[in-house]
Amino acid sequence: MRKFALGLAALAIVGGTLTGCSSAATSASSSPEQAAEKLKNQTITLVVPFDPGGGYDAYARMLAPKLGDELGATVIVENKPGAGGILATNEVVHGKPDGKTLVLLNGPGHLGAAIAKTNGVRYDAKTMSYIGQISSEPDVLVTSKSSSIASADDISGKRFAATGPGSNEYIDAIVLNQQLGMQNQVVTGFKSSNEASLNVIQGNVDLHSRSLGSQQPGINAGDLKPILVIGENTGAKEIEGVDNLLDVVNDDQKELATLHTKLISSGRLIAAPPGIDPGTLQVIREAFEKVMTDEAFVKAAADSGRPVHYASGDDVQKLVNDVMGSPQEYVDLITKAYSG
Amino acid sequence: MLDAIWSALGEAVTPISLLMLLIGVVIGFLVGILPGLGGAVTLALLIPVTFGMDPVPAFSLLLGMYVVSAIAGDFTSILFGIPGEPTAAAMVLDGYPLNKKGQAGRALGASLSSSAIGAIFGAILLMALIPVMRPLMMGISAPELFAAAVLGLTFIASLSSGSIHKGLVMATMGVLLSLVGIDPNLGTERYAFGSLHLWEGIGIVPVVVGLLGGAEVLQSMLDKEGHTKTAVAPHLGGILVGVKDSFRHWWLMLRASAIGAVLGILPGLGGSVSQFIAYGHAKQTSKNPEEFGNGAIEGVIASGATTTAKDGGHLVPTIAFGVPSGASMAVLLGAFLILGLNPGPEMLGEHLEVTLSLVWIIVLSTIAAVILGYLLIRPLAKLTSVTGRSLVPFLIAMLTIGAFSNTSSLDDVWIMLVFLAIGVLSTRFKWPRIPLLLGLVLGEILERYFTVSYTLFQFSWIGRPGVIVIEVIIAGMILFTAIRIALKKRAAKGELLTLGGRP
Repeated sequence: MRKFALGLAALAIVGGTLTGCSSAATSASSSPEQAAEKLKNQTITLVVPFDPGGGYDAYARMLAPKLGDELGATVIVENKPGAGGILATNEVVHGKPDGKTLVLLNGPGHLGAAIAKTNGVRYDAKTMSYIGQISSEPDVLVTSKSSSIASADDISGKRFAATGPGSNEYIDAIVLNQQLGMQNQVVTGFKSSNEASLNVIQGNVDLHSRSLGSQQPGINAGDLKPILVIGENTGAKEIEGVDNLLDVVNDDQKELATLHTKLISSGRLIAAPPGIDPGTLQVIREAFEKVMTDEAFVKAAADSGRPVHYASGDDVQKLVNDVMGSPQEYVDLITKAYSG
Repeated sequence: MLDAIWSALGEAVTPISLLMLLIGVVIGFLVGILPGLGGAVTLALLIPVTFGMDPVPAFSLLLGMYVVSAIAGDFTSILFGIPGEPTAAAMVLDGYPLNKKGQAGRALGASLSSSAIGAIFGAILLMALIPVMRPLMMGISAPELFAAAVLGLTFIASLSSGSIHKGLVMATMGVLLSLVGIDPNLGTERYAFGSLHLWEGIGIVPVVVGLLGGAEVLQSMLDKEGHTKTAVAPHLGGILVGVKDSFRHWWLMLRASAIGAVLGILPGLGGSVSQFIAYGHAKQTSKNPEEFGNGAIEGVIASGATTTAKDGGHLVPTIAFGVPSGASMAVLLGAFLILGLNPGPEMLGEHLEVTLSLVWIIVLSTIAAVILGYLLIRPLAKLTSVTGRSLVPFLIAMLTIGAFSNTSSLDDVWIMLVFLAIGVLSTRFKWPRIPLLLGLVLGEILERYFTVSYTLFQFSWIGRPGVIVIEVIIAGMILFTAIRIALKKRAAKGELLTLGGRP
């Protein structure tokens, strides 16, 4: 009997510990003033679908206190890694649209998975309530310093490195193969994108495409050389004078190249669950805009190596609609990049 | 170089650096002792604090915290049988039994001193490798990691207490479990049964917490009255005995440090493998291997030294090429970039002083941790005089939070509970648990790096210099074990003869 009681007590403790981790709140349609009042002194969770320490986490932790100041609320960052971000996005999409749950999305990954309707995606990217864009940077295709590859003309027949199907670097490889009419092999299975990069430096594999911010250290150290920019060039010195995908594709591929540029440049997005009331959405969008246009914030961000790039919630919504309405050819291409 | 070493020391002992170091050490202690708060998460939380700081004070805070959290993580393993971090799992195996015997002080003393030596060993190796780390890293790719994982497999035999066959079965189960998740090469789902959570595979944190910690807690709940350790008063005078023990086994301590530091250089291998290799090695070379698992001080010394030695090794790929091994180093790499430091040749030329100051920071924070730890051991060891039963509610909360914090997901708590059940069953029916854990960790590495090696090089990788070195070590290990077994058999025969038994 005592054992049974102990077991019950144990269960109660497990249960108690867990219920402490979730909270409930109510919401109803309201004017911006009422909405602002409702968020005052509340705790807002900014979900990061990746591990602590990466770029997404850094942006979230940079934004959280400032956004909190603007809203008069406390914004906390919560890391929920898993399934390349889909896990956390699913959860947020089906969460309460009361403005107390926000998510920082990897634009290309989020939209790519939605276009490809990959396994596990349980949301329609168009229905989410977008707050705005916090950063945008192009991808840069690189090779080792000692490689014979000098420009995009030389990359046919070489091998790409990528972590795995569905990753941003794998999508780039598949898109480049199609757009430049190549059949290059993609070597997958690297544990991290840094490990893939080291193998490029070692000369074990030739090409690797990932975000500018991730490529900068290798380029600056003189280990890597940039070959091609994919996405809008934001004017960083490391990629000055490097060809852009839009310049090297044939005319019949321009439309798809433009769409892919849009996808890559969607960057890092802040969003709330679908169905948020307009008043609350407006309040959060305005607070976000204030933070993102604050000169001190922009400068501090650039100084810490995490430059911000602002786009309003409306603009992001338009971009999402554009990308989600892509022609079948692009949808097929992205689907292929997810199925491996 | 010598000038740079001394001026780096000068940088590391400025008042602001020392202040940051002390703050880091105190935070590191708390983080290490409390399961659930991992080193990586805390590093991420501390990074905004370092905005605008100079590199050396910033790293004094970050690296100081991180090094000390590994030292203090062993405390939880010894005191409660629940690993504070996955890298403190091997410490449970002998540290906790010693505690149950009333020798908590001795185990804590031995773990503290061996951790300190390990950390300093790792730091010295890091410094020694500065001139050659970039050429060295150019030769380490998937094949070397695959070979190192095969080396890890050879330790299954010595980690299977009792029957080797049972050990092999458990290791195979572990490898099979490692197949759960998204296939690293093809991106297809395997055994995920529609659960997105399982896409990433079965996490090592909930498995370690359930299999080792959870099983212990349940054991103490199911213990008949009187079996709890109320009777044994903690022997606090043992701290110095533990310290002496570790220096009595100085050669083992150095070998375990070397295993941790050298394997730490391989990015992608992770600290959870090297602790078991060091532990297995200690058992293989011990005069009393049968004591392992029941409170062998050598087990504590080997695990303590290897856990902290790995940090010096981990910094090598991070500094040389910006390739972090594991989550914590990834966060630290982020800090490098925020402070305007580019990993690569810059860190070995222009910013050599910063790199060297990292060595000093490891040494200084270790010394601070030893002093603080020595002061804290007494009050901590008193905790063990609380009866097992009254600790149970607290321990269950620790288990739950420990598993939950892995990915802030309830699913990890279920995984922890499943492995808790497996842990209890294997203890009850005497099936070794460690091979299962090792199989789970190694399975993923073996599969991933075999396919990458093959895609990159077909089979020509077998002749790469790094791979040959590991192949020779593996062959040596097998030969060594065969000779030992043969000698033992002969000795046993001889004994039988002298006793007059039938040969």
